[in-house]
Amino acid sequence: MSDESANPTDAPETEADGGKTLGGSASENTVTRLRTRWEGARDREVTVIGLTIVGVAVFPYLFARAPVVSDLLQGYQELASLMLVWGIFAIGFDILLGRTGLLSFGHAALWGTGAYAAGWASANITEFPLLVVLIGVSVTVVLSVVLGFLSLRRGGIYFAILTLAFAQMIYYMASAPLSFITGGDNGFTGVEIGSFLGVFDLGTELPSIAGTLIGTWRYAFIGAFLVFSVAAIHRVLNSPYGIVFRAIRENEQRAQFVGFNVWRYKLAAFVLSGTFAGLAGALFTIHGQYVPLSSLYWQTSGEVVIMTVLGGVGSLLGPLFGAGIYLWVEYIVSGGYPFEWIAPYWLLVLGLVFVSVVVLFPEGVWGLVGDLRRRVATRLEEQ
Amino acid sequence: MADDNGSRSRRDVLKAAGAAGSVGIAGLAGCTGGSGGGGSGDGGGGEDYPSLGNFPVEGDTATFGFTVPQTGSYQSEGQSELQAYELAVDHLNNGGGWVGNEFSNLSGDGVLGKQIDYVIGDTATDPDTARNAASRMINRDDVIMFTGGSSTSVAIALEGLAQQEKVLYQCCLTHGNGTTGEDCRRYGFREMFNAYMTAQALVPPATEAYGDDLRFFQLYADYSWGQSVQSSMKQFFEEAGWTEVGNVATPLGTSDFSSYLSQVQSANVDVLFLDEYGLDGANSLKQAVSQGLKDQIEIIVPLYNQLVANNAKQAIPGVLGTTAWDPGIDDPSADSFAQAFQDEYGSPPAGVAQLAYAQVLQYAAAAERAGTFYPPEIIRQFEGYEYDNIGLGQEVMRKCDHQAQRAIPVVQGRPVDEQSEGDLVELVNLVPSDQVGYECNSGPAAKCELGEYGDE
Repeated sequence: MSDESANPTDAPETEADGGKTLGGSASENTVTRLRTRWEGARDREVTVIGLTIVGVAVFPYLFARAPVVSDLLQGYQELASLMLVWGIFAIGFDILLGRTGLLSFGHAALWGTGAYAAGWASANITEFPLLVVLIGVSVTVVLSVVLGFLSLRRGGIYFAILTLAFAQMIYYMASAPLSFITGGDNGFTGVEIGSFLGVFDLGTELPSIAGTLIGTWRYAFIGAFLVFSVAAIHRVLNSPYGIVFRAIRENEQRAQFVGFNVWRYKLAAFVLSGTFAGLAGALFTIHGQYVPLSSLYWQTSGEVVIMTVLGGVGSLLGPLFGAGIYLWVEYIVSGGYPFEWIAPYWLLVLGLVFVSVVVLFPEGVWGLVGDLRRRVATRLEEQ
Repeated sequence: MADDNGSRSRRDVLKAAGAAGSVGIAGLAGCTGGSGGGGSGDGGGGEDYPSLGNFPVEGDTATFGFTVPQTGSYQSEGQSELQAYELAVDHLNNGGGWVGNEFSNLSGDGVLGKQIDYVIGDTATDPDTARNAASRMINRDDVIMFTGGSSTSVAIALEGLAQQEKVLYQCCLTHGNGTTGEDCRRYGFREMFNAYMTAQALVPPATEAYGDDLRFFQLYADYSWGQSVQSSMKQFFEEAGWTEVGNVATPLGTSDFSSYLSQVQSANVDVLFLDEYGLDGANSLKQAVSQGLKDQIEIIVPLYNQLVANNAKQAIPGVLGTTAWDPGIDDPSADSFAQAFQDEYGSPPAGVAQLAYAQVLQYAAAAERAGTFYPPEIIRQFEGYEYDNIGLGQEVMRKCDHQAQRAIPVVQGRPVDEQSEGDLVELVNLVPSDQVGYECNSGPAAKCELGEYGDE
């Protein structure tokens, strides 16, 4: 878009050139130019954020209401919102897995704690969605500092096992000893979400075109947090601080020799990733107005790993697609689509998708997108 | 009702504020819609109701949602439920069974002039999965009512969703106290009795059969349902003069109960309560019998189901318990349902099948009485409704907590040589509804706040 609007000033020049030289070289010239401009713009913050905003804005329409596409996808508004919530969880998780190279198997503890804290706050402190989210996130940050402090004593598989163990500990605490707070097996049922800023009930539709495109206020609320998360993570990862994360992933020892306090950076990455897990958990509560006990269960940790790997480890936006595909299979295929008989086998379908992605596109779905882009670019250059 | 005796809580005030807010929004919607009329008042008749949840029903079919466990430990119950639901839909559209007979206001040609269709979702006996399935039905398939489930935690989760989305949920098998207690919702109704009522129903036959001054021990499933059974049994049997010597919680999905059962053996008791369900119920009962406990002491399984009986055929003879419904009940409606089910599927219905079948028909009948699918009007038709047409004698759907006041079948396992396929327990007594139950301001109902109708 911005390219087009920027073009008119250049346009006469190009045309004038075209008049003097051969047509072929002129088009080559334009393509190369557009490409270099695109290359430059692609990773610029504004472009990333702009693309995310556009994606978030048209996604519910395409998924739930557009004539042909939505029939093909069998989507619906609430699932679109849920995909965004899990998307935030997955891109946050990728800070740890993709950027710092740490596999945590206990992120359910952070997501679940965010969800429970938000739910508890909504029932006992305030019904304002923003405050509920804030409380959920704050509690999770505290927990992730503690968990990170304890688990990061060890690396590799020991780290994964430690996080898993702590998460399961929290799960069992919530299931019985603390069931007077958490509702135990019933989940937390007393969630009361009020209206946004005291004005809009989150369940109502947005006015006019926004309503057709985006749908509900709840989606817009969650979508705004997603855009914010993408922007924040993009900024952190491209800052000198974020580059240290990558250095640690590439070679921890060398990063240490250069003089970085590796342990502190790891903790920072863990807490940062935990913050987004908590944010997603709190939004999950806002979305469902209910917190299931299974949100703390190890399977939730497994799900986010799968989503991230499916989407593409180490890519900023990839995990969003991973989350979308995972939830689509979990919700739509399990409901007997495209074939009635497939319903009980949705986990098998998911397994097949996962295996084929891992085998065929080791960089995930996002890697596939990148491959295509590069191929098209080479083709254009060859012409 | 329940909040009459307490001071106004913060939540009440907020609810009132919320109601005021939604009236404001409804008013706005009225303006932009341009339909005029100045908002439909209480007297508004016909199709004048505003849209709410999935109302109005578009097209000439209305869709029901059936959320049943199709995988996991309760799938055989889910199977029975689903059979009954499909039978009910068939009868609603084509006549047969109770339609046109026990339920005389149903025509056998759909409901309110619309044919009935249905969608199915798997709960896997997990609240989160159940909500996923139900939310898909509500958002995508536009169901006007959903029903099913065979677990209290699932029922509670779905009731919450129903209230939030303003789509009615008819609970099926849920026995915990919370469903119509502290987690009750305006948009959920429960025909099934609860643990509190089970305890009341079991005291007379148990004290009569085993004695007055006994010591008992309880093993209970360590989650909300098991806990509510344990506390209810303790309360009522201690009132009747028995003494609880001890109790122990067993994690859900325990396969080896021997260490728990040895505690029972060393406690020197007369009666053992197994507050376990599904496979846990069957395993604990089998292991209790194989450890020789049954020769020394009496065993009571407060809530029987087909799965327990089927998996512990050798162990059940003489064991007392309650069940949702039993084909042996002497009642014309019970007979006609059992016959219709038998004709269709070739086996007698399980207790849960009657429950499921009745839920669909009762909803349809309430819609016919209301003359609309508008949920608040249907809810009002349910509340305080008296009926005697679902095979259990006279019943009332109580307004204060949406808990049916009903008779409870007390059953006993048949001796092994009298057992046959699908008929493993015999009816001991049908405890009439006036001997069980509690007032609106006591027991679980004291904690119940139903919430809004959605048209305030």
